[in-house]
Amino acid sequence: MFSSNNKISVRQLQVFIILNGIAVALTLLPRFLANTVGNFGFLMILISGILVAFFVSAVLSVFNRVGERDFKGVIEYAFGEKVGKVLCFIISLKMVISGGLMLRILCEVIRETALFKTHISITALIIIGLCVYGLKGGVEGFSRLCEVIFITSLVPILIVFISAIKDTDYTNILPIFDFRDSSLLYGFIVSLSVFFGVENVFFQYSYVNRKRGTSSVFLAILVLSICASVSYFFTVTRFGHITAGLRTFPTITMLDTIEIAGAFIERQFVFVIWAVISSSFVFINSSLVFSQGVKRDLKSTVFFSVILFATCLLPTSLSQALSWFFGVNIFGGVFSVIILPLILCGYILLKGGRES
Amino acid sequence: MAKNLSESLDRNIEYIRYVFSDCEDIVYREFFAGCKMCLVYIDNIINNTSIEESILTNLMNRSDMWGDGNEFIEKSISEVISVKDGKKIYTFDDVFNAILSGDTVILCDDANVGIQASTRGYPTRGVGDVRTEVSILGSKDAFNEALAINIVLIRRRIKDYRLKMKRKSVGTNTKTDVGIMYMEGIVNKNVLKSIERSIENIDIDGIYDSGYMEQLMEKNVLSPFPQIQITERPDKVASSLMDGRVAVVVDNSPFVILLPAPLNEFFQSADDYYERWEIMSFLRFLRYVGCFLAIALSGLFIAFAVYNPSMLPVSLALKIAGSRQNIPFPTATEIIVMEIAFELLVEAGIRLPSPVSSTIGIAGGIIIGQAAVEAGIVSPVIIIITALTAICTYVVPNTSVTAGIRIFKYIVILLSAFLGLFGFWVGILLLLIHLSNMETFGVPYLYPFCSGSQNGYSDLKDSIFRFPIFSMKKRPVYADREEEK
Repeated sequence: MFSSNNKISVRQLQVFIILNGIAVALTLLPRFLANTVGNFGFLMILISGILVAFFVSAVLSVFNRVGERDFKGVIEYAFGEKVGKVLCFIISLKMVISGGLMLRILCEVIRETALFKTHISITALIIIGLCVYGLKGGVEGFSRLCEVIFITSLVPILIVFISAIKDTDYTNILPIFDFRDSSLLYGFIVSLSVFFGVENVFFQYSYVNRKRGTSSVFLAILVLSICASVSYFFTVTRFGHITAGLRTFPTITMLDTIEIAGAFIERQFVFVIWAVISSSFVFINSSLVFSQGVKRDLKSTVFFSVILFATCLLPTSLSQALSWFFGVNIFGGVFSVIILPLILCGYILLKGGRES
Repeated sequence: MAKNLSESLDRNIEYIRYVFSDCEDIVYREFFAGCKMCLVYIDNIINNTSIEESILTNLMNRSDMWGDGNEFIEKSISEVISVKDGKKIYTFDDVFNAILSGDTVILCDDANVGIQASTRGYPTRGVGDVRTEVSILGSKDAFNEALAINIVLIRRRIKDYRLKMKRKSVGTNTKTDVGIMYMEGIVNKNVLKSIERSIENIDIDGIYDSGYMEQLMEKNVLSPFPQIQITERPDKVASSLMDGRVAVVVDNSPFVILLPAPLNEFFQSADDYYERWEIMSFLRFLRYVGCFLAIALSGLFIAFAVYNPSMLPVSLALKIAGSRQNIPFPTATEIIVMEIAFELLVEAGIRLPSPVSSTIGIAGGIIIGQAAVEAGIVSPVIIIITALTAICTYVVPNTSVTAGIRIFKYIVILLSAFLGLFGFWVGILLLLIHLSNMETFGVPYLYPFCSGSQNGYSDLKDSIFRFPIFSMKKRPVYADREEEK
């Protein structure tokens, strides 16, 4: 029927993109962006979102010219089989390392908010265990899970954001254009962190059952940038950009401390932590799913899981994990998200696409 | 290779007697009607009137019939025997199958062929009332153990020549008759093939109930959640057939299997469509909430009370702390003990006659519960939580789903007890991963909550909420896409 064929729908691809970005927007982004471009950050996210949306759509429409080839196939088509395989392995490694660092950040969030005495290795092992169990359903099972998580985690968060409209201080966002102490270029790079999972998009796009997804990807990236921008806006209006920059997880704190009229529970942390855990889980699991591709086996699962776990434990502190996360994604991302796709696009266009 | 009938009646009878040795319910009725003949059948599973009036009387009254054995059989089947269904059989295997199925075998001297005359007359109860899927409105008739009656109950509701029924025999020894029913042109052929294949692959000596089939056809055998729906309501089967689903009717079982069966189907009851959509949408929503509470409430209480009491309003947190002041056990132990006590009550009461089971209910629910609170062994809040969980568990109209709910409830409780709120969400995530990985004959188990775009999200109109019937224009995703309601 429509299962067991390693294909996902366009809507599922959109959900992937949004959830991957939400994980970063809830945990990492506000603190770093507040320290760089301050009040202008919410507009910076929108600008970078539009640029990324155009770039990714253009790259995908060029990839569409080589028919049914997946991303790995396109790389091998352009660079030859051996070099292609090495490049794919490097990208996979980058994805898993990035997933491992996100795992560390999630573990730190859990330790700071819910499990104060438990060592992060236990939390990490539990999450990796869930990821490995999630692999059983393949790309299809994972994409279905994302759809369910998308609804269950974002609907409560949306309700919290609606309550935030009246429970915030809008004067904190003023002046919006104040760049005296800030670096716009660095702020732009930081704002790109929402779209770190974009190389996942190239991999995920290979599994879409009908190649008409470029406009859908464009839309999904725009929606993600709006969500991230709104999240940042309310974080800054709640605390001011200086305080937001000093807090470890300002958006989580903001969401937790908003007063919801008529709520049964005192704090909505139970929903906030679900959104954080589930979206981060999607980020981590997608690195494990897409690093292995369709041909998953026990050996590669164990290999990548060990890397995931090791990467999670390597940083000595949360701040080191955050800086590593940015390092890996900025430098790795420049190669896998910008340079490599540009080379591939150039090669495909020179070769004449479909004819080749 | 199957052994053929010989031309000697005596030799044929002798072999049948040899095979059915020590089977004293087999009747051999030898007589002369133009030539030497014999009827073979099993006593009490045949219709006596059919044998006496349609076979014996007719044959004996035609003493003018002459000819060699095979010609005699030919004439008998076309001119004399007046049963509703008769056919020639050539091998002993056919003879044995016919006799064991309740038909009568007519053998004749000098003929290497016999007649299988349909004379089935199993003892059966009449069409009874629905017991497990009671509805306020809607029909009250339920399936019974006779395959033929069950098929009639379905045919009565769908007077369409496209309603097809394929018959198969399952179980090497029991040779249980199984009818696969579907609407041609509406059913998805790939789903139908997959179901037929999974029935053909069943390798077991005996099928005694649709429950056997259910377990043997499931793909994900380790899951506590049912991937096959069983129902005793003919109206539910009829409406499911019109939705493009396949019904498997098993002889000797008062339950009919419906396939494919995504989770959403288990939350639907017949009344949902017989009453107004507003109230039924509200009730459907309550079922989903109830299901979530049944899995989550106990675990969430442990997480809140033990790890994160600051989540609760101060007055409620104080109340809970006050009620637990002199309780000697940890919260998790208290909850687990009370949940298991409830499971025992259910197990004890479920198979007993109703007066005894109600006594057990009173003894367990009121006396033990009240006594435990007064003795200070459990807190009143825990009793409330356990009772609410118990009520929510049985809110889902289909009892098969409650097994999955009950098992995952304990997983969530244990994880919450060890890891607090994180453990609670890990439990929920585990459940979601498990359900997302599952499929039922090619359809995702969580459909239409995921992969809903496959049918333009129209199936969401009959999921958590039940939209007005006039707005449900498209058939579900498992139907053939070309047809519309």
